[in-house]
Amino acid sequence: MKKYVGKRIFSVIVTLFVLSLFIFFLTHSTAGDPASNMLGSDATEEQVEQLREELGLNDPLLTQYFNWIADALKGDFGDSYFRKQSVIEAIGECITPTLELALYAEILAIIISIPCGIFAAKKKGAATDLGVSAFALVGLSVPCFIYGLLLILYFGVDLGVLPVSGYKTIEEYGTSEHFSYMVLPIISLALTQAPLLTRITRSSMVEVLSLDYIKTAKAKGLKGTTILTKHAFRNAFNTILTVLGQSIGSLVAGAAVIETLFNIPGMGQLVVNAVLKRDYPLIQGLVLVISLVYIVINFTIDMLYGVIDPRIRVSGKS
Amino acid sequence: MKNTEKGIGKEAIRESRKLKLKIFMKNKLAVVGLVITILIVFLGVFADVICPEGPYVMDIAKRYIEPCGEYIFGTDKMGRDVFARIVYGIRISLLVGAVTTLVTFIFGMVLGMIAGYFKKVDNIIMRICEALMSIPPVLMAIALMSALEPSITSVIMSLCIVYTPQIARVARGATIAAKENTYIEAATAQGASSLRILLHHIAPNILSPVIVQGTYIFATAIILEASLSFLGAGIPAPAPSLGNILYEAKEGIFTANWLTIYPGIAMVLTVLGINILGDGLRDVLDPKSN
Repeated sequence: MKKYVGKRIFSVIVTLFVLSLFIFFLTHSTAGDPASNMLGSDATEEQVEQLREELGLNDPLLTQYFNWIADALKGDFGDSYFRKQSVIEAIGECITPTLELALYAEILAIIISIPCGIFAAKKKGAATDLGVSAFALVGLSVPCFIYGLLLILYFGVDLGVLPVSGYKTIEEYGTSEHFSYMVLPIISLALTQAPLLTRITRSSMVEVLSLDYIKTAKAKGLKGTTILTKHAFRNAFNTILTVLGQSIGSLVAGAAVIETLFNIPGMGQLVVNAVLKRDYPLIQGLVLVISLVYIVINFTIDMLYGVIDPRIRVSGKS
Repeated sequence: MKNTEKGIGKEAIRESRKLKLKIFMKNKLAVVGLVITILIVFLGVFADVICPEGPYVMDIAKRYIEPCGEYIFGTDKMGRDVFARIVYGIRISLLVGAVTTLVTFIFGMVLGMIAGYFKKVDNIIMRICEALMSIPPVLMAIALMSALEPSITSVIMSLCIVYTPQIARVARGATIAAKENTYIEAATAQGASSLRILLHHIAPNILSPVIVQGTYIFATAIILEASLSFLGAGIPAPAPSLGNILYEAKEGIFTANWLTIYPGIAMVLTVLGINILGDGLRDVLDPKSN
């Protein structure tokens, strides 16, 4: 187990290093010059040059990279060019709506997909299974903003019962107001997450249910639900957990689109605005932080295998 | 592969192809996917025959006309024919998806085979791929778009960088598995060069899983392009893509629901057709994975 953890930590560090190189050189090979962007078209050449000097844009790339990394390790990602605040402050301001949205959506997606997947696997080949599989297949083909647009059309425009734009905090406006603004974004995002989870739950349950020990459990006369939950699902859970971890990436990505559509001031909208304004430090910081979260979550899940599955704990293999 | 093709194996290969085709045609869903895809591709390819006046004709007097005989899908805020925009949008979306798939297929195959076959570079290539894959695709694609001029070529380039690692990973896994086969040992013993082994013995044997992965990339690339365009960081206006048509639909959502509904259906059908086709191909080419 120790060797396994050490190996994984090492590979995470290497991945982070490559990632930082990539992000840095990506945002520095851009066509637009942030200094002239910031000052607008009225600025003189001297002003632009002075600002470039202040921002350190005239240093050699390698120096800029090492300065950036050294600061980043201290938790300082520099200042946003356009928002009058540091990157960390900007992220801190915008992270709550995104976390809420992602959390609610993931919970809803799990509530939909795991029972659906289990039932489909149990009734493999029957109408339920075909229905669930068809739902999953169609669902996989719909981008999240189409769900969003359709929900806006129906609940916002036709029925006029739900707000379609904006964000209200729980503290200030109360739970019901908060959720009335969040419900459409949550459903749009959950519907994009659910199909893949359903598919994976179904296929890993089908696989587990065909194993011998399930037959033994059946022969012993155990109740169907006990077999499904205690015997089968526990073993299928590993695969489901992996996909859950990987789906965090698409969740964040989906959040970017959904936040823009529903005008929620979260990280996703922050990313989109940073990109449209070519706000280098903000783009770098955001991509690095979001990827870091993604890497940490997946690392944690890898470690969890050891806890959940004793076979891995003993052999040290994944 | 070559030797067998010359001799008795030729018949067997033809038989196996026939069998695969038979399995595929028996799968009714896959055939439905094929039909949808053919229809969509037909619309995209013959866009200028179907709508010879093109997607750009504006007529401010004819803004927001509801679907009717002349404009079966209505008109948008600039009085452009929504049907024409959708047909040309399909063309651009398919073009982006197809070129992305082709380029990632080539680069991914080469990188994956090198990583899988030569242990020394395996670590380097796979660490780079892992790092790239740790950035969520939409995030990576818009970050790349911020570094490039907005154009179709840039969108395709961004998508290729996003998806090449995925193909490379599949190709690497398949290469490592194929390397264990005795025929590779035999070829090595005969003194075949690494290049020859990779091209003649490994490449044909890892095609199936890579092609299956490729169809999914085709579908997700279309979705990703649409998402990018929807965020305003994809195909620049006025060129239509399914994504930026829907982006413009957002403005008129309170007055003109046809701007959302028809392009939305076109988008879903395009991706759905390819996804079903991909599932069918997987059942035929890579039966173990199901």
